[in-house]
Amino acid sequence: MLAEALPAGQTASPCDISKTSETLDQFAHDSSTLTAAHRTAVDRIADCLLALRADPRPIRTVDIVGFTDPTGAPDHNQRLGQRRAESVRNRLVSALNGKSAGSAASFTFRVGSLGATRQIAGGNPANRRVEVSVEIAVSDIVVHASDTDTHEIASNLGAPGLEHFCCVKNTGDIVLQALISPNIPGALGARLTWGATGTAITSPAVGTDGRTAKLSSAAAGKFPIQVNWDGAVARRAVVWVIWSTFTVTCTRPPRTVPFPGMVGIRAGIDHTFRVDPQQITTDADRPALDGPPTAAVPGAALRHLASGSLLGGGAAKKWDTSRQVRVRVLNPRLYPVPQLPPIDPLGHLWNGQPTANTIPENYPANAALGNDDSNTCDETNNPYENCGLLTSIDNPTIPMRNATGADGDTFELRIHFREFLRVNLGTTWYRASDSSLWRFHVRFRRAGGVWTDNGSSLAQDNAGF
Amino acid sequence: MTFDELDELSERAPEDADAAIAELVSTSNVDELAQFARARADRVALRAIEGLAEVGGSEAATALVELLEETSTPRVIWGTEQEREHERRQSHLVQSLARVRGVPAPRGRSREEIAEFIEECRRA
Repeated sequence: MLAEALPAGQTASPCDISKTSETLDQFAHDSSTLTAAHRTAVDRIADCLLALRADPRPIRTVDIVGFTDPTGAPDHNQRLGQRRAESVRNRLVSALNGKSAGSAASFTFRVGSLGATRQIAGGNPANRRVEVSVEIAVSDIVVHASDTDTHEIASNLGAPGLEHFCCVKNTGDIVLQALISPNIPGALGARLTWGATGTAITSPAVGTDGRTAKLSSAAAGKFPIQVNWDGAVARRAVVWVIWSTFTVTCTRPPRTVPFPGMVGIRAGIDHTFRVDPQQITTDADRPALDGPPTAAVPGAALRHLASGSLLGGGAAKKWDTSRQVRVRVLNPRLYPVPQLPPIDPLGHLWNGQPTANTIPENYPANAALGNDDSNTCDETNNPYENCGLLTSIDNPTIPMRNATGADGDTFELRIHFREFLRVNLGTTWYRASDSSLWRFHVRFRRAGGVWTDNGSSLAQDNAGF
Repeated sequence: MTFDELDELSERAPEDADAAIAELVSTSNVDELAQFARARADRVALRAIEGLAEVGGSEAATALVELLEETSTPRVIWGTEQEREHERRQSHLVQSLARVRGVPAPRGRSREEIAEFIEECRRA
């Protein structure tokens, strides 16, 4: 016998999710015999059950509850309701097995009676009924297949935590989908609604399917969302739109540095990036974005233009400060490679030399590819233990061999940089900041047998390339 | 295995390179350990340097001296990441050589201090 109180608003017809049950009414007075209309309805219910058998979220349990009109004694009505429910069950089993041999065994039928309780409008014939329903739940929220830039990231708390959906700012709408279990078809009507805090959420997002909803990624932030079923909260999650802001915390103007047989010119700059929203690193229940990356960085197989090291070493955590570079080499005296500053044999800074004016490296098209980032020695990338901050420092140094050239010769490198933050979500790396532009123009002139600084400069722009 | 093959292995499969280093240490193969110590992959190079210290003896000491001398000739120190990588390798070499020769490591890492240390190790 079923419990007196069914969970309100938590059921659906096996055939139509917009309805709370499939009703077979108009039983004859004091009878449990199925009418022709009942038999037709049961056959249709059997078709609906079988249609979902192969679905990832099939119907497994069916509730069949019998009712009566208010005439008669309660005990009698209880038994009559039970007989009606059993008649429907028996017909349903027969229909299922007739359509697919043995298929009825894959379902559980919970058969019961509520007698003359739960009277509905429509008079006695309407109340002489059986209701067939299934329990329904919002079993999951997932990223809709149309959205390739939003990633569901597990909670740092594991299974007890909330669902977290992360994307980087300005990567298009975040499109989510509620999974209903079982996956009964049909328009949801007003049964399922979406809510969000701090941003607008609109449904449907895809066609007319109210199971889908979308939010904008135009502003960074933490946006709690919820899915409501029949007016009650069925599931909660959090949408995170990630970005960061940067500050230049120090600059070091060009100065000469002596080396054996060489003179170097060095300059430097330091950056700090602040993750936004900060709660993504401080909330007790947050997406697990600490730890090593789950994808190789873009351009991992490429080599650094000077050190020859693989760019794949450029990130050791999911949050990473990085740098892009472009270089113009001005070699008016056409020094051959052996006379130029030494680089790794696998570096390509001197490709095309000797030539008066060449660009051996340009900015990569991929915004998240750091072609001047082959290890993390110059970075701190743990915002969880640094108040949401990441840092990078750089001190490029270019030496010239004193044995190269003659007094009066000049040599110049125009080195431009884009400093930025990137984050690894799932299998992809995304740029998560604007670029901090800076440049180091290294200008040499040979005088008195040694190379000297001929007006090198450091500036926070990319002018004069 | 050629140097290029070692370098490829150390960059593509550093765990396999770790295992190869362990094998070289167990067989006291100083020549190949010295090759690994020149690998681009920082992790592998540092492990190989430590391996030379574990092997010990005059042959390993000679290899460490040569490696330390190579660090005195700079390539283009493009940026801080290359500079720190260079400093870390040099520091590992100094510590490993000091251990093998039983002499104290210099306090600083200036070119003069490194040169003096190398001379002391040669005399030891």
